[in-house]
Order: sequence, then C-alpha cells, then structure tokens
Amino acid sequence: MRRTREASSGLSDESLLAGMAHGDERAGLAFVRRYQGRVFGLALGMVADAALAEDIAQEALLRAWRHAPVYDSRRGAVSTWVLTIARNLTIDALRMRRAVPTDPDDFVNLGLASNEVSPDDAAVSSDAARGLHRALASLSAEQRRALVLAYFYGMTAAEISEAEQIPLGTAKTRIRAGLTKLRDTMTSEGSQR
Amino acid sequence: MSGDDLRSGPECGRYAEEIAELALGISTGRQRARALAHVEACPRCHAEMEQLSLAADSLLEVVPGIEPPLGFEVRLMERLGPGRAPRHSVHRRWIAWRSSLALASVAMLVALGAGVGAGWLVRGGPQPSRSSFGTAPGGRAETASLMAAGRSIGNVTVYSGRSTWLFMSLDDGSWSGEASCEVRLAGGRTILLGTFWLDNGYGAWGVTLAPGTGRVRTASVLSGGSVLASADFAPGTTAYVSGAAARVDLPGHQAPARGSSCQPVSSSSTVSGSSRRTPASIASTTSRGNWSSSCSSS
Repeated sequence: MRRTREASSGLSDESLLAGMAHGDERAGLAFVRRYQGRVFGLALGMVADAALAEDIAQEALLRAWRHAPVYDSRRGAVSTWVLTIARNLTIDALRMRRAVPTDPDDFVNLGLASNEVSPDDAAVSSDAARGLHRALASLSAEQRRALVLAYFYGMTAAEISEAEQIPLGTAKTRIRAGLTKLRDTMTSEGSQR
Repeated sequence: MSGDDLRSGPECGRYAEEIAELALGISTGRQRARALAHVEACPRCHAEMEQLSLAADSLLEVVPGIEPPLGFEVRLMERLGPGRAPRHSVHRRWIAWRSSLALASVAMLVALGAGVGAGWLVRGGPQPSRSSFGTAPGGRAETASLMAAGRSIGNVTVYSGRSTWLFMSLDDGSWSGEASCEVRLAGGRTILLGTFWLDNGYGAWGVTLAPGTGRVRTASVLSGGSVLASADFAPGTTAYVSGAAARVDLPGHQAPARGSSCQPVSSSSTVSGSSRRTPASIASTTSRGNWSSSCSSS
C-alpha cells in the first residue's frame, strides 16, 4: 500500500518534502500542485461546503509544508500523511464548526464510483487502485458504512451504534469485520499480482 | 496474518475489536489505554494493528480528487506568506488584499489579451504572483476596502497603466446572487460597470475601463437597488496602501438608471496588441467559477 510518487515534476514526494524542509519554495509549489486536488477532493467529499473544504485543504497543505522537516517516511507514505492531516482537520471542522457532513452513503458511492487514476498517480499502479475498489466493493453495505463513519467521520463505535440505531456490539462487529475483510481482500489481491 | 490468527490466543482475542478501532483512530479512554498496552507487549497484535492501519489508510486512496476553486494556490501562498501569520488575524486583510492584487494581475493579463484565452491563462498559465503585478510598467494601483456596516468585507483595486481596470474581491458576507458594480468618478458621474455573482458573500470580479474614464472616487457593490458595500478612494490613496475610508451600508440608496452601459473596452486601438473584444472585456469569477467574458449590464 505504500506509494512513492515520481510524478510530473520528476521528483518523488519525499524529495519534494526534503526541498520544502530546506526552504525551497519551488518544491513546495510542486507539492501543493500535486496534492491540492486530492486534499480538496477529500475535504469536499466529507463536508457539503466548498468554501469550508477549501479552507481545510489549504490548512492541510500549509501544515504539511510547515511540518515537512518532521515527516518520517518510516511511518507511512507521504500521500497518507497529507490526506490524514486533511481528514483530521475535516473531522475537527465537523465537530467544532458543526459543519454539515456529506451523507455517508454518498461518500461511499463517491469512492466506489471513482475508478479514475489521475496523471499524478502515474506511479500508482492502476492494478492496485482497482484492487482497492474491488476490496471495498466486497464489503457489505453495512460494513462499508460503518468504516466510513469511523474513519472519515471519526465516530466511535458507541456513536455509530447511536446513529445507526443498532446495538453497540453490532457496531463493533461491523467495524472489525469490515476492516479485517478489507485487509484480507487487499492482501489477497496483492499476492495475486 | 488474518483475523483467525488474532483470535488464536485468548489474551489477543479479547482485544480483537479494540485493535480494529485503534487502527481506525476511534478508540478512546481506558479502552484505548488497555488496548495500546496490550499491543505494545504483543508482537502478534502489534503486527495485526499495523496491517489494519494500512488497510484503513487505504480508504484515503479511493476518494477522487477534485480540482479546487480558482485562485486556490494564490490564496494558499498568501497564507503561507512571509509573516507566517495565522488565519483570521489582523494580517488576514493584508493577505486578502494581496490575493486580490494577484488575481487582479490575472485580470490585467486577461484584459490585455496576452494572445491566449482567459481560461488557459488562469488554469494553465503562469500563476499570478506579486511580482507580475509589481513589475507592471508605469502602473499605479490604488486599493480601498469594501466596507459594509462598518466592517471590511473585501477590497477594490483600480489600476492605471497602459490600460485602466478595476478589480474587486469579496470574501465575507452572506449574500448570494447577482450583484452589480457601480463607480462614481471624481467629476461626479456615475457608471454602472457590470454584474457578477456572489456565492455566500464570496466572489471576485474585474473590468477594464475605457480610456479617459477618469479617477474613480467610489466603487460600490449593489443588489436590488441597495448598496451592499462601498469603497472610497480618498485623495492621497496610494499604491500598495489600503485606502479604507469607510462608507457604510446605505440601504435605500438610489441606484443609477440602468441605461449606463458597460464601458467600451480594450479595442485594438486602446490596448496594444489585443484583439477586438466584446462590449466590455470583463473577467469575472466566483469561488467556484471560472473566469469568463461576460457583461450583463444593460
């Protein structure tokens, strides 16, 4: 699942971050251009407010820029790092600003419907992307919804239980079963390639 | 490793659900502390959590990218600016103003033709920057705050150089819908320059003024015949200094007769190198829109 990009600028994500850490504005710009669509797309997928999504996306990219010196490649891919910053900021916005979240089903469908691989994803195997979609599609609708509520909306099992009007045990089971099945399917897909 | 492996040990099985919730980042309180303590001590569960975390993070990859609104990069760069000022500080007005200047530079380039279409210029061309504005030869820029009910909700910049143009940006307020821009000149004449759209108070718009239009004293944003916001260019307002003389919201202000048309603009005789343009060479945008050549004045 780890990805290293050697996209249009010819530099890997890690190289760009290294440049940013040393104050190279061109590296920062290249980094922003590489990720602004994905970061904005994530935020806009989570909140139904374009202006708020832009605010979040900008803040996420600014934080990535400012914290480039402390990025640790051993702890995850750059894309995961940046998108996680955006996700956490969006969750904060949903909680603090009482922003209106996207309907979880819409969000699920957004991900399932998208089979696009952007030009900047050139280094990302399209096989991997398709495998990921297949893995997500293999989950039951309830499992997908539970995972989305947990991961993208930051809801605890108790909150999911309340929101979905299901017993707490059922919520926990959906979360665990969904995540382990996602992992197992992805592992299986990976071993077949 | 699979879920079956995890359940193979009684101690590990007790934490199966907790580990999944840890991986998703939704575990809380004592539950989280207990699970973490176990994961730290158990290599099997530690590996399990790492794998589940990777699976969870892979969800980020299925969300499709969406091109952000026009000016996103400019606004981001300004937020990053030299002062590293936090958002919503006093510095923000400066940032917003600099952003408007940067966008204004695009408006100027659009107005000048530059040999390419406006869409290309904005989307794929050189990014607007401070320097592109600052090096405009022989130009003079005056900026004033757009005031509404005693507070600034945006800026208006009038640039006078080889051509004269006006650019305004609004980033606060609550109006959505069509708004119009009206200027009052130093000689007292009032001109309705055109219309544009506001989206929750957010929008940017520019227009090239006809040669010899004269000095702009007041620029106002109107909707439904009322002045939503107004900017005064007091004498002595200079380039790169925010004018900011307030003229507060004037409900009931009588809008001028709509007979005044968009100013004829930038024909080949007035703008060097440009091709003949539509009645008014207007570049307009909202937070979600693209620059376009449109003028809906009467």
